[in-house]
Amino acid sequence: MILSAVGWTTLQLAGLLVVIACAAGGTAAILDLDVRRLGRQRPRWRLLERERDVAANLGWPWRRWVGVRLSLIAAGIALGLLSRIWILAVIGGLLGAFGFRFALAGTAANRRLRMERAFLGRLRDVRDRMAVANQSLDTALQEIGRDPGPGLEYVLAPLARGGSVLDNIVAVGLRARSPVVEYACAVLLWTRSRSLEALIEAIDELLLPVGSAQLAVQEEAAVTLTQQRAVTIAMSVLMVVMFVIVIRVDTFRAFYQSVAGNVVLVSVVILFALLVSLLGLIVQVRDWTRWDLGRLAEEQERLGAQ
Amino acid sequence: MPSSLWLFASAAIVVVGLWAALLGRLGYLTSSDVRAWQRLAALRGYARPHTRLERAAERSAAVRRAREELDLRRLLAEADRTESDAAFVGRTAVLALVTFTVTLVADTTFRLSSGDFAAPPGVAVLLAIAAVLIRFALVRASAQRRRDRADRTLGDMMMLVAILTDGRGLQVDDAVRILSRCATTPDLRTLVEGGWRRLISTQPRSTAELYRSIGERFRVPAFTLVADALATTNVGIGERLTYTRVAQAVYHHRLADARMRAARARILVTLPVAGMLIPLLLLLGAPTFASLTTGLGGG
Repeated sequence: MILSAVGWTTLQLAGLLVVIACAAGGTAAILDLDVRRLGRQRPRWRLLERERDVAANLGWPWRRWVGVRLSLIAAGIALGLLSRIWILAVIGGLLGAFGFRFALAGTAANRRLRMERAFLGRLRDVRDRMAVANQSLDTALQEIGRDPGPGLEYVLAPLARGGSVLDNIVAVGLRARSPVVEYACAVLLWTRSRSLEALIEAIDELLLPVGSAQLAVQEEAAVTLTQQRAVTIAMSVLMVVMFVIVIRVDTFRAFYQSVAGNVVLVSVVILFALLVSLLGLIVQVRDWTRWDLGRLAEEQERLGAQ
Repeated sequence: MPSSLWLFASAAIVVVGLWAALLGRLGYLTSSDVRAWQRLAALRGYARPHTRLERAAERSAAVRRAREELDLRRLLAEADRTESDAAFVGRTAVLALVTFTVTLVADTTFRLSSGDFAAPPGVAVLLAIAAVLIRFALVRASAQRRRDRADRTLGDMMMLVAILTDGRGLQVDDAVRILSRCATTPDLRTLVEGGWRRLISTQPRSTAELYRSIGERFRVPAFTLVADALATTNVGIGERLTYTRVAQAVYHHRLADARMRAARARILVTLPVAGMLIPLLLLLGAPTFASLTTGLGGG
């Protein structure tokens, strides 16, 4: 049917497709493209890891995070369909996917900061137990694990269960999903096999001052980020409210149901997304190095065995 | 003056100009002594004196920066791309050509079916140029990203380096190599495990020299910092103390940087926030304008 509308025969279309395929193949050969390698290069896992970070920092199980996100996407699409402005189904879906994450990212960051601050406090506690009460690192960690304090129950739970201390420290780092905690765990991994005095010295001279400096850097960035998020959320709510008021008028509703109205809506969404991205670029927070604690533990054991 | 005469005059000027350029190129406008010296200098491989234009360009910071940024070999090495600079240029040319051809074919097909171009044919040229610019921008961004990540990872591992060199007796380069394998990003690992050879052709005599060269050629300041620290440990100051100080210096620098960025952001952030009024106005104004236009048209 489409072919007859364009005025082409099936043979002509097949010929055109062959020409396009040959041209694409020739171009790929000249450019020496390796499609499988291109697919591997995409850092998909990094996006997934970021999602896991947000969920963990909020203290939500991963399944609940995925469930809520999917439900909100479905709700956004449903609301769009109910409005009978079809483009709103797409916009609602996007809002459900990204809006919710954006709204909660600030809370997640603040919660993580609180957790990191509490963790450094517990680390000071470990140091005192070893220095004053003459406890070994393993005992001190186990006791801290049994009484983790507010906000650290989930993160420090592996320390309370006994077994290999090395594995427990790695598990704490993996649960925290925080660069500061990962870093502290890495230092503990490397220093635990040394003397108690050296360990206390490492905590006093290295971990606590550097950890505090790390927190200070993050807090400085968090202030600006919070302001930016507050402004963006306020503007988004204002736009949604105004839009709801506008489409209650029949003439305006009819406009937004037309093609021109859809184009305006798409332009508004793109413009707003660009401005939010620009805000993000201006107050960009630098990432911290993330450590593969499992690998660190392996290297530590390998060097310890030598 | 008739137009044919203009054409004739222009052609005559071009021909005379070409003739003069050819004479200059063949050396007929240079004295025979100078030509003899030039020939001798070329045979012996002496550097020729720079022209006034070259000297001016060398003095200009903007030109120097542009040359650095357009140094493809360096950019590709920094970005850890395996292709050579010639291959990169070739691919870019092919991509530009493909963009040009596809756009032109699409535009011509549209004209054949509807009788008019969808966009002026000049758009094909603009898109081809855009493809070249985007490719250069991408490789620059990739190089910048790798530099930043390598710098950050090296700065972040200093505390661990202090422990490894002091407690385990490892050499700094071994500690850095082991720890770089444990970071989740491969940028530092690829650099210290032989990636540096792409820009540093001679084998450095010491780790300090190697790190200083990497810091300079790959533009990763943390390497220069570690090289300086290495020089300090060579005169007898303890490794743990030195690298702990480096770690603290790194975080103090980051804190200062974060504060500076935050202060700058507070001013810059007003621009996009003010810009957010535009989509709001568009949302409210577009249906109002459409209704008014329809009403006036109908009236």
